[in-house]
Amino acid sequence: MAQVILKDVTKRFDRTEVVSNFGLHIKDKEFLILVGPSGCGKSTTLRMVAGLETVTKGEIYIGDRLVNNMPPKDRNLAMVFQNYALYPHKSVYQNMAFGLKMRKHPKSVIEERVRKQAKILEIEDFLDRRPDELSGGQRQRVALGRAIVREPDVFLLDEPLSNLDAKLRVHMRMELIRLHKRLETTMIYVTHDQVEAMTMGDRIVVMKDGLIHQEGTSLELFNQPKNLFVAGFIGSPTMNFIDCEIIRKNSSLYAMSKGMMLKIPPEKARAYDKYDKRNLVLGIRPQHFYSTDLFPGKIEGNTFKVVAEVIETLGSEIIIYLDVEGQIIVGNMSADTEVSPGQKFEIAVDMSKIHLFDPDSEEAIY
Amino acid sequence: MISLEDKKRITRIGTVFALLFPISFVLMPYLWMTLSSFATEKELFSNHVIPYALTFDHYHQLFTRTNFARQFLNSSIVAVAATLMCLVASTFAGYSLSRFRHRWNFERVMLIMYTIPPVLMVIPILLIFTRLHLTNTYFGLALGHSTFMLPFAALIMAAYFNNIPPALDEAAMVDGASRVGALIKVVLPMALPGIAATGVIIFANSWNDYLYAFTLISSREMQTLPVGVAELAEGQTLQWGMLMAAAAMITAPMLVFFLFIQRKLLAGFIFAVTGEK
Repeated sequence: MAQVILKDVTKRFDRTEVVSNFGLHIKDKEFLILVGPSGCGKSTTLRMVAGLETVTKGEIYIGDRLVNNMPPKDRNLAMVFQNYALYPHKSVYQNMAFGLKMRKHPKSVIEERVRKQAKILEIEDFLDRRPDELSGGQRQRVALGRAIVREPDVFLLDEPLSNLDAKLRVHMRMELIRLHKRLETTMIYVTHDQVEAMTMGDRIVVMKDGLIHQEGTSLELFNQPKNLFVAGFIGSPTMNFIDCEIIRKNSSLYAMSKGMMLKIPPEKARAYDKYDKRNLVLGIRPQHFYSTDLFPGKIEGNTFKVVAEVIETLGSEIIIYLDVEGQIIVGNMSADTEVSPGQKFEIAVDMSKIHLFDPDSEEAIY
Repeated sequence: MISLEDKKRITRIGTVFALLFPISFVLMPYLWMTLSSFATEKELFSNHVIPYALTFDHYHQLFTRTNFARQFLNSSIVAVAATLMCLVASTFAGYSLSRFRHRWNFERVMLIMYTIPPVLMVIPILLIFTRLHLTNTYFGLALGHSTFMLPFAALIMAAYFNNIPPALDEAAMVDGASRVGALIKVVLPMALPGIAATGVIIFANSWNDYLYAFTLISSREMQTLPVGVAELAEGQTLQWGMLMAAAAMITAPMLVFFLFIQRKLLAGFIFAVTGEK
């Protein structure tokens, strides 16, 4: 068990900087998620912690040891790889025992630990098989088992679920959360999937182009995204971004765009006062649209007319693509909404949940 | 109308015939050689394709009147030594080519080296080896063979390693192995077919080499098979029967060897090129 501290860590390959001045304090026993689109530097960061990549600049501490120049074998970490990286010529048992054998644990200890974890992970029946005789889910368990038996200070997981099918992925997500609760060990988890990030981590770090864009809990990222990138990356379907102009009418502020004129609630208006007559980007999450028929509590200034283009029915809810005078926005509404493609109707926006962004700096304005 | 089933049958028969031609083209000389080696001197110059009387005379003469047994031993020692030396070097070189970023494009350097004909290097190597007192030694000749086989062997090994995911080495290193430990404990066992395939090629090249053996070896005691056999053909009268027996004896070990490992060999090459097992 240990904390991991990254101080101003930079990684350069030739001349391209993949990770820039990355600073983060990962607390002991924390489940930290690094999330971002591919090429954002999240895997490189993880690999630097593992010792598989050198650090160009900055310092990495595991526990209170500076590990910049320590080979991976001495860092007492365990890593789970995207393609599992099971040794194909070794049996499941030998795969799980390999790390302990390398660390010269006595045979009896190895046997006991491997059997115990194999039982918990429900792979005890496959101990004599080779990895290529196992299904994807079973291989995943073996990879996890190989990491767990080592009883490492820190677990590193590099997109461990992305090779599984959707159903299994949801299941393993839950198992990993339980595993973290049981082991009480620091875990650093890299993923490009924001749903995985939102559901699993104590704390999420959103990365892009080698930089940390925001860190916080799922709710913080969802409700108070710091900039356009985080707002667009977190949440599904993606937040709608609408170019708008802020105007003042009768001492109230309005966000005006083609086909809509939305009144900014007074408690929010104070922050946007100085943006009068400026162009901003209005962000509305698809979940914050309502049909006025279904929710008649209609307030003046938060409705506009739309034409339904495409409707995707998901059972409990629908995802609906709406045309607002040529601009397409996405709504995520109750399945009870009675609407058919091509139909004109009116929808309302929960204006207390809107976001406004400066189009130049891309920062959110609160 | 021909049924689909018949069409398939016709295709199959056609394929067999298409293969028959190149196979017989390749096998004919070997057959000729083998048959001739057992024919009597008289039969050799008769019109019979298949000799009426078989004799082991040529083989007997080969072992009693020439230095053949010694040459066979020399060739074996040199080929095994060259194979071992070259395999060790090319395994490390291939692993390095496959796993590390190099400032210079070593892969291209190797490729260029491979395209240089060995005959260009034989004189410089002779001069260097003479100074190092490496001529007329097993080690010297094996080293000479390694010089022209190494680029090729390293490239093949690199191609093979490229198809073994680097995540495996990394997993082993995180699990507690050093880089070399990961190579030996995890990567090498997986690369065995590739190593075997490369080894066979090195062995065959060393076994068959005439040029280096002729240049680097001057003492009769140290002569290898190709040089020895060539000498059989150098006198006033060609002793065809003995020549054929010698040729058959040179070919035999390689043939047996290839027959035994051909499956592994092919699998090794296919994996190196396509990454499929």
